[in-house]
Amino acid sequence: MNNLTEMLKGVLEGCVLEIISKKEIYGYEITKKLNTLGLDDVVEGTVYTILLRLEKNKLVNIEKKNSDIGPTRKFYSLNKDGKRELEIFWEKWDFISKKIYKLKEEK
Amino acid sequence: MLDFFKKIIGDKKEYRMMMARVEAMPKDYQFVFKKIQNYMWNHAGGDGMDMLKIQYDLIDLFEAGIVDGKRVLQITGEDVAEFCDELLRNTKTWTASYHEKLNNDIKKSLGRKIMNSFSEKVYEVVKKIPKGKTLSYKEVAVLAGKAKACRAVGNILNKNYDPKIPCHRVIRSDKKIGGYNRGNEEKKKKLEAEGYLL
Repeated sequence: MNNLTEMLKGVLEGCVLEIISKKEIYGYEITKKLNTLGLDDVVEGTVYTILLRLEKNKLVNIEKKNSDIGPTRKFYSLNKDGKRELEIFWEKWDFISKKIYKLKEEK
Repeated sequence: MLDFFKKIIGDKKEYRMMMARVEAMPKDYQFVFKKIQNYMWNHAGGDGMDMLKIQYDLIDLFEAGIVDGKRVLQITGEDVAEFCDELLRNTKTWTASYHEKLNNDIKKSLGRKIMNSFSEKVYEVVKKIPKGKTLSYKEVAVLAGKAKACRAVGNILNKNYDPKIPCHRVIRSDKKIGGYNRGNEEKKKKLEAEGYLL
């Protein structure tokens, strides 16, 4: 689906955290994963700015490695604070989505 | 003083190397990079070192994009300004200092007393409630120094998502479990899991 940019803004960070939590991964792969999921609007730059933020907030470990092709890439994995942040994200998401559905169903 | 000069010269050398990498990029990448750079400098708030770091990293991103055979807008998205603004969120911008000043001014004259100190005290009290024990909203209010503010305690805890502050251990004086920002069922579950008998 397209034109989700505005709505996605707040939750994309959680999505990226979730993807990183599954395995060590680099930016391009994260973007591909989100595109495959059907989030076509997400470009590498968007993921990149989120990764910068995660790095700044010390939620990820970063290792520079040579990939199969091209220059060295930064591989990301979650640290302890990152894992906690991810838990908090899901709690907030559950809360918000429940409330919004409730609003829809109210008579 | 010597250190200072070393720093400047070192930075300049690094900067020249950086720009040489930019010059080696395809024309469309170069164009967008320089546009982004310009936009960033217009917003710089501090000495700009944080912006430089982001620009160095941006070169890595662009070089990877070139290797992957992508066009520059596939990397940044078509809304390049939006991409820039997101990048700027990680730096010190001059607009951010206005932003901060506005909030600080307001906090100084209106908010501090109500917003900061009392809610911090409430969080301190709640942090110390051990597993399996509870306090009532009223008791928390008393311990935080405002006996009549039990409703305010509810409002403050309603905004808490920090797992270090076990706000589910605060219940009503009549032993009913009261509200919870992650759902009352969840509160009940958590309390039961900790061995508290409802």
